[in-house]
Amino acid sequence: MPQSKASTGRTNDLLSALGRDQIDLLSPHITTENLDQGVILSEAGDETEFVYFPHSGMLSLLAVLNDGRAIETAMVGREGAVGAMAGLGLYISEVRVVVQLRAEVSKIAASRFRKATARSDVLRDLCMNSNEVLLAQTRVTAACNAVHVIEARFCRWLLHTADRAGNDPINLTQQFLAEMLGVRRTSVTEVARRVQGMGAIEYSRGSIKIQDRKLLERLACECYATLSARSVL
Amino acid sequence: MPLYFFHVYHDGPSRDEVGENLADGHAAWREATAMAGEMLKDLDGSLKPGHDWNLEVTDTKAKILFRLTISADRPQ
Repeated sequence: MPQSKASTGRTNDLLSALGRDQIDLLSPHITTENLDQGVILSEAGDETEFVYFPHSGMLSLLAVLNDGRAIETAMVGREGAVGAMAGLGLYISEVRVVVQLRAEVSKIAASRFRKATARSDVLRDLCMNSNEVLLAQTRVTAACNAVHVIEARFCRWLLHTADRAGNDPINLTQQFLAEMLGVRRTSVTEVARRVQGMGAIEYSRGSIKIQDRKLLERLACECYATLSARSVL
Repeated sequence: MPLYFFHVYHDGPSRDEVGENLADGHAAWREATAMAGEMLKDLDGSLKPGHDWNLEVTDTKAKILFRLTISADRPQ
């Protein structure tokens, strides 16, 4: 399955778990590409054109409000897929999909994926499981956003992002972070200063370096452990 | 658009070195009140009687335009 292997050697968990029969259905139509941070793959309301399987990096799924504000509802890395429900006939994306961390992905046209899924129970299960993972994340994120303090959410988000960033620095503007957390940019600035003051991170010129991971884990809300333990991230 | 800075003082200063470009003073006031609302939720017991929480909005000349203060005390 050469086309589903990423050049870095890192592979998507869902694709890796497939057997030869499913790979044969998909591989003629799969291409692998690198996506830069900040690229918008689809807007809420768009028809789903491609299904994406990240091998590295991270894609963010954002709910978009009428006034233009957006908030992250789920993040997808090597463990998952974006747009997989297109395989079961869901044609319209309900979320904006943005590349949160530079990513290497395999992608397949939704129409091709749909045809392959129609011929494989395993691929149908993949669609359902992928959707269940996103729903589980969204449930936890909704509760977290409503109840937990910004500092704890900020730390939780950084840990999840760091887990996907590998050794790469986390390059994010405060405005981007504010959008992910659904808070004011000024609040993010204040929280980042506080967490930096405690020695957990070093934040400068849009680049975040984790200095003390254990401390960051103590400052994060339970949702980091919850989502990690369920292997949904 | 003018640049405004949002400094928080709570058991020590936390100075805003980045600032925010906003349309005018009215927008800066709105930003300050919205930020204060988010920050106060985060206090979550950390504001102790006898202590204050302050948010100051300044312009680029460090002139204080607004100050929001939450004072905590325990009447004797």
